[in-house]
Amino acid sequence: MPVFSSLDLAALLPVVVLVCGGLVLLLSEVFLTSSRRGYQAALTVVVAAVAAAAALAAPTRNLFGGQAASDGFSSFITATVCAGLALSALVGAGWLHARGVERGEYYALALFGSSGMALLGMATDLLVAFVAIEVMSLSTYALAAYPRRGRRPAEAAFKYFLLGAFSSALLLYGTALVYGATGSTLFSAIKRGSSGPLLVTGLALVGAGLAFKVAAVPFHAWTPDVYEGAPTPVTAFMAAGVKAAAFAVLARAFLASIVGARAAAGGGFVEVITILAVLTMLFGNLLALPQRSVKRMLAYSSIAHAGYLLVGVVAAARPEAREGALSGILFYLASYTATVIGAFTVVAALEKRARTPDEEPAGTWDLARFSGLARRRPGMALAMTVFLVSLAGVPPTAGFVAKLFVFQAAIAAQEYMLAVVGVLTSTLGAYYYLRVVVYMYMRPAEGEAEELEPSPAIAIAIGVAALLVVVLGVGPEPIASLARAAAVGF
Amino acid sequence: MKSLLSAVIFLPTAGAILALFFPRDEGRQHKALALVVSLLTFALSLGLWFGFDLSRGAPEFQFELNRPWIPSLGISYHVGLDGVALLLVMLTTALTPIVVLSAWSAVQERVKEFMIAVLILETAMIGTFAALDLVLFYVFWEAVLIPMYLLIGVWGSANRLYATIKFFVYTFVASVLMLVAILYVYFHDGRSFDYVTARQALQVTAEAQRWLFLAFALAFAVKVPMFPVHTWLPDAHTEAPTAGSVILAGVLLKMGTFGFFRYALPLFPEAALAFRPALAALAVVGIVYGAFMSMVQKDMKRLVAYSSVSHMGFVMLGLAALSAEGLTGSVYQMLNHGVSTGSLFLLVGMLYERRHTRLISEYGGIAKQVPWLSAAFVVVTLSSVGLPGTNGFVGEFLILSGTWLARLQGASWYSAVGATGVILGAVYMLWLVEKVFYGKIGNEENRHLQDLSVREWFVLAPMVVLIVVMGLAPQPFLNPIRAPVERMLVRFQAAEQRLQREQPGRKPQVGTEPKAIALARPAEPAAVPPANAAPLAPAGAQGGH
Amino acid sequence: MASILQSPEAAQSYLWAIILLPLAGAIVNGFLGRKLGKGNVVLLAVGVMGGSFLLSLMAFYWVMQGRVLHFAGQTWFRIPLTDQTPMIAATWGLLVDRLSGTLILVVTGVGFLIHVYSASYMGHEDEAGYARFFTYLNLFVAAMLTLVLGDSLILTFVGWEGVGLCSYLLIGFWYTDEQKAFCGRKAFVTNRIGDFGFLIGLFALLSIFGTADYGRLALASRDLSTTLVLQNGVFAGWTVGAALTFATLGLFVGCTGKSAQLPLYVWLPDAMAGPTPVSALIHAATMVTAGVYLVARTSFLFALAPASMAVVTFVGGATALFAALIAFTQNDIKKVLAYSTVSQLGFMFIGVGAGVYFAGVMHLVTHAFFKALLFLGAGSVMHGMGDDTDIRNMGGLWKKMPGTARTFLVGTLAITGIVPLSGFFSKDAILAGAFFSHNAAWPAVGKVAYWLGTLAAAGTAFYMMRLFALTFAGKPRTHAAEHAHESSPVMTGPLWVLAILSVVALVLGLPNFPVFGSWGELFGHFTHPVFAQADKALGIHEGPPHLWPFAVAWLVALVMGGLGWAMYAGGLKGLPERFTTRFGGLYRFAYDKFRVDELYEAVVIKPVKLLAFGLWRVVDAFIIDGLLVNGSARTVAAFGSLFRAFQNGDVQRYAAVIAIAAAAILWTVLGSGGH
Repeated sequence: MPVFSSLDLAALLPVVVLVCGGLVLLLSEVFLTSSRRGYQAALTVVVAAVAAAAALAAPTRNLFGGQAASDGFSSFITATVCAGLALSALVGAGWLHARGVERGEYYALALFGSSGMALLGMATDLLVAFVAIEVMSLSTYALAAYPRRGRRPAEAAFKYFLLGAFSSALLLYGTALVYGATGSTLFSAIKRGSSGPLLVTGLALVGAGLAFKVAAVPFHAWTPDVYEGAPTPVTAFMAAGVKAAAFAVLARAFLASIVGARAAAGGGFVEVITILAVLTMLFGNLLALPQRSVKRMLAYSSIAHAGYLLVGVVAAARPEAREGALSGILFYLASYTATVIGAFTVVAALEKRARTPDEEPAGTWDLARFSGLARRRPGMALAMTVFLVSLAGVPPTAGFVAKLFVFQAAIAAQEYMLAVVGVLTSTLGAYYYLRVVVYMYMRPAEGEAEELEPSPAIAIAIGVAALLVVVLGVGPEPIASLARAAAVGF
Repeated sequence: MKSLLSAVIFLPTAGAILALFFPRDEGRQHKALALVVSLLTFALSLGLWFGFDLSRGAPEFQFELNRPWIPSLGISYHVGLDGVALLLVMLTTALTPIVVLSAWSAVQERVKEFMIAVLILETAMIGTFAALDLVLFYVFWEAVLIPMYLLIGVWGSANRLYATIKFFVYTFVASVLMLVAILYVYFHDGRSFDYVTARQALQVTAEAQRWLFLAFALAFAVKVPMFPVHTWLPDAHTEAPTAGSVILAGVLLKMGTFGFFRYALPLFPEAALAFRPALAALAVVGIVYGAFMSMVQKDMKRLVAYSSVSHMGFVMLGLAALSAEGLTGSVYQMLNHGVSTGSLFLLVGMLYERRHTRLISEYGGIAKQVPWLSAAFVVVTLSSVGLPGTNGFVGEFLILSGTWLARLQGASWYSAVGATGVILGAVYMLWLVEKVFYGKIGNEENRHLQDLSVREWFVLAPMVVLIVVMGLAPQPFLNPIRAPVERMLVRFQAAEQRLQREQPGRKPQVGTEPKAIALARPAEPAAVPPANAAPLAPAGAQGGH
Repeated sequence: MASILQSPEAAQSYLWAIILLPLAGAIVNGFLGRKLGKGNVVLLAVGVMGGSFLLSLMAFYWVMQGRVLHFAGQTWFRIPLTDQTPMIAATWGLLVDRLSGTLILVVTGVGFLIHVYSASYMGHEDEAGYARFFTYLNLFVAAMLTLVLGDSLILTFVGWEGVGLCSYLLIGFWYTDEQKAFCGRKAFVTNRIGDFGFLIGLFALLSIFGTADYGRLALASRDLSTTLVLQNGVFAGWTVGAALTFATLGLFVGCTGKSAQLPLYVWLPDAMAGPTPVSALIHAATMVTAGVYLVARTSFLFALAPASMAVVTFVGGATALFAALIAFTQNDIKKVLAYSTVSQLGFMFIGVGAGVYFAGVMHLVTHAFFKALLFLGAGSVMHGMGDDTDIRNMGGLWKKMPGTARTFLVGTLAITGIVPLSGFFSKDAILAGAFFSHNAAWPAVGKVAYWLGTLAAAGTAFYMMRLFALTFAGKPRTHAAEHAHESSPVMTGPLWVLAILSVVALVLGLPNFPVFGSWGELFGHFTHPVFAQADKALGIHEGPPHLWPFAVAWLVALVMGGLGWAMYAGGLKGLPERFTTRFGGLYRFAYDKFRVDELYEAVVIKPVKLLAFGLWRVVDAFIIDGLLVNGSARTVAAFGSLFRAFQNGDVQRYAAVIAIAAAAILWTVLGSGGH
């Protein structure tokens, strides 16, 4: 076993910070039983910020004899995850506070989950990856059921847990086979491994497991139910963080496997991911079309976006396109984090309030909730428009630059078909995203337009997210170059 | 000087941002602000107009500014104007204040959003004409959609939701493939999105070039709009508020034809030559078809919208002619269409403000009530039917003669069929005038219409003046077109020589045919065709040997 | 100004003033007319006409000196070509030679008289209407002068369309009457159809000669062999002759529209909806003769295209007879005159078609005099009759309106062709010329045209005499006719002037019999330089004049005129009724103008409307929008809902899918080389 140096610790610092932050919040919940918990969200944000800083400052090196790697890629992922964490913590603060269910556990779980994501971003070993995934998943399962009341969250959490377990099983089994084939679980070992059927099978199962995590069609079925069922801030957190982390490891594993097994099945893997990408883009968008529940629509759209990210993964298979593709994925994840959290935040702010904790009013997130928003809360409507336009990939927003990034990589890899499918399916988005705009701007408020006064936390979250989306759209260079650098170091 | 163009582009946005800080229920402030800002923009753009160097050997693109924007993607903020872009920018900056003024009383609610949308729209439109980086162009091109979408959807009339979603999706779907094409170009011109570089260094197979051309052409054809992808226009025009219709007709459609002129044709000349007959045919069909549609409309705006299809058909025909006359004419016709059809929508809007209906049958015999309005309407109509002395004539004459003189198979047919549009134009436009203004007053509500107000005078006067000035003294507007047209022809002649190297004996197809008697020669007994040949030259009988 | 008479250069620099004066009048009256008050309006309108007339006289002075005034104007628009001289170069150049010089005199002179006449005739209009009328009228004169003075086909086309516009505005002057407004539109659209031909002809000439400038065209076509074969452009493989035939026919299509020849004459009778002075100025004296002017102006081109000349001649002859037949049966005084105008225009085209250009143009001039006279007379009658135009309600006006009646008689005799009035000489010069003309493409066409023309002349004599008899002779047939009153001297004044002119204009056309000495064929010699090139191309040489055509024409006019008088005012009063009853069907048919309008309605207008409507509903609404656009949208949405049905929240099913998918992946990767 390799020695464990202090530099390794430095590299692991972000994870450590997140875990410690979580512990602190847990303890604070136990010992400081004051009714005023505003500080918890603030603390979470601070922790996230520190972790992000630590990640960006982390030294580039292999940890534990190559079981994990701290490089630009992982730093970027961690930073993104932390940004998502901070934003969703703010949202959570507002949302939970309004419902009187604000507890330290929420933030603690979020922090633990984030630590898992951060670790996942670094994992270069199937077992480490597995552990990280479980850390991430378990806390998200718990978060999904967080309010402990009501049928929907519970059902969502349970579903998520069952299917998650199923996919973990696939992952684990695949890992076992890989180990059988190569005598190691290191990605580096996979690279070297002579690709017998055993290895290929193992990798395929691993791939299936990861495909579940990134919610690629046809492994996506859980997403809409879970996303809709879970408390909206949690949904935001999952949509942003889980996706980012899962794509990080998927990219690493995929590249390792095609490099390793190129001689035999490399083409096969590319083929598979290509098919998954097409299916995901197509069905994600098609299924989002008929949704009237904005939350559910966003859930499907998150599937669609997974499709565009998969395009990036496929492109990364080509060495000449790899750098662009990976940086594209990173940028996409960053911009998507800001956009999707913003969108879910608005949904959270608008959702119909239950009178009792157990009651679940119909049409909580119905389009009708948005009608006339432009008159009631012009600022919020404008922000939501920005998010939706970005999701649709219309310039000048982050979403456009991200798509440009990814499709450019696809063209560089001469995956013309993928690019064409991508842009064409993205036009479907123009329809269902803009339908929300129609309700916000072009329809009078329906029914009782109760005065919604979003809590400062939520207002800040929306404002920051919107700002990020616009900045990433108009002046993306800093982040883009950062992503480039990260990809180079890959 | 370098940054003047950028100032013109972004001044409106600055105004829009400023407007954010004005109280939303102070409509007048927002109107005033928008008017001032748009007027300032126009004033600035005059600097472009007078600062533009027309001398021979002047740089192709002036007021050029090239700064890296997203270097890690190879995208730069590269803007500059050639003569054509200059004219269209001037058209935009000149129309916007008029549009704002025209909305003064028509838009009463949510004035703030309205004016912000208009100003942002102006930036996007100017940017589209000024961009010299393919992605930058695409960004501006798409950025136009959102504010226009809101203009139609929020301030439009009854059926606005259908119209605006149709408008957005139609144009968006058509545009995205252009993005793929742009990316493809990037990897085949030595990794650059820069237009100038792409134009010089693009290396693609003939087949790829055809696909690229189609991808660009589709996006542009929908915007123009060309038959058969025109059906978003009538709905959008009909439902949009007056201001929206004016911008749509005045500038947005030009983005399509400008796209052909700036990108689709010069970037892919061989492909353009291959698809030229189709372009010309569709253009001619559009001319006649649009006119036919206009003949049977009951809704004024719908009628004018279809007439746009017909008029833009002329523009496309001129482009397909690839002769100096045709190209010049079609650029000029872009301006004409902006002015005359824009004015038509302004006038229809004024009637709408008075009676709140667009149905032709609701009017009739109101010329006595609104003599000045009807006089203006008649003048604009004449310009729209291309009567000599108005701007319309110069454009249509150049296009049709340019097509007739072009080295184009069956040129005479395209030109002749296109010329029937001149007849049909008179048919439906004069029908409209007659049904709206002449005859007896059938509807009592029309008895007490107000004639033009002072504000409306200010809205219309510039347009009518332009119509006459551009009709009698077009040369100042034609001069800037000269250099770009010559460059275009040079590019195409070069492409033609490449093709001739591949297929020897290929007849020249670019430029203007020299006068026939210069090359006439006595008949050798064998080669005398019957003197009583069919009146129009058969499509095959092109060129001697 | 006086310098104009010293140097032609000075005169040239003043040419534009001839056009700009009426234009300025139009602009001022257009914007301020309603404020100025009637007095000032008419003062201005008539004033500018007078000024324009004087300037025309001065220009004509130089033409008499044998000079040709040419003002090389500024560029209008011009498309430079890198590799050759520009094909499109439109300038504001003006040209006064003996042809256009003559015409501007007619236009401004007759125009001046009609402006004067209108001052009183339109008196009952309100301020705004009065101003509007003179605005349009001045505008028309400006456009007409542009048409005549333009030194290139392009500039002529400007005037060509300009006069069309003014005619549209003036026919629909009383626009509150739907019918009148419609007539205006009909006129404009019909003219546009002609203009289409004009444009095509113009393009053809551009592609052949690379210029539309009359001077350059004449130069390029001088001694041009028509057997050369063109090698490039639209006419590649055509002989010059064929190409020129095509081009000139195109121009002639324009002429049939503007000058109301078959088959596009239908708008002119309806144009009578306009105020009578308009009918006199635009639809009799000037605008409708523009076609004749154009053919004369481009005679050197037509001369190279005998087929075109044959067509012109024949269409002219056919129209002359056809219109005359309709005129037989009309009872509306203005309609009769309208059809007689169409018929007379036919004569002019016979002239210019048969190569006796001077005769055609001369008839244009004389016709301008006596037809304007007749129309103004008719207007005066209408004034007296309280705007009744049905000649069956008139009669006996000879005593009631002596001035009008006497001048009208002069006009009638002139158009009938009674010696020694001007109409006789001009018309006969045409017919005689046509008879002895030789056309390479259709040798017999001259003779055909002669007989058609002679018949038409007979008809003319008859129906004009009928018109005069029914209007002025006999006893008043209605109360209105009883109390008809003579019009103001402001109106009768111009009548007298025109009457005198229609007599003295005979000096233009005296045949060159020795008796007349140098006066013989005065106009022919005067205009000879203009048509020299054409005559040369046609190989026309001065032959000894024949006497018999004159005799024939004279007899025909006398006999038919007498017959007409006899039938409607003299002894044979019963005859008309018997004819109408005997040939009832034929009479009806003629009375309904041979149902040509109905024919066009059925064959052209209705089908086009139907086609348009069909295209709209089927292609636009159903196929493109319904099937393609909304259809695809609906399909996509349907797919969405379809797959949505699968998402039912059933965990087992989800798990099953995952398993299957995993299996599929395995199969793929292993299948693609797991071994």
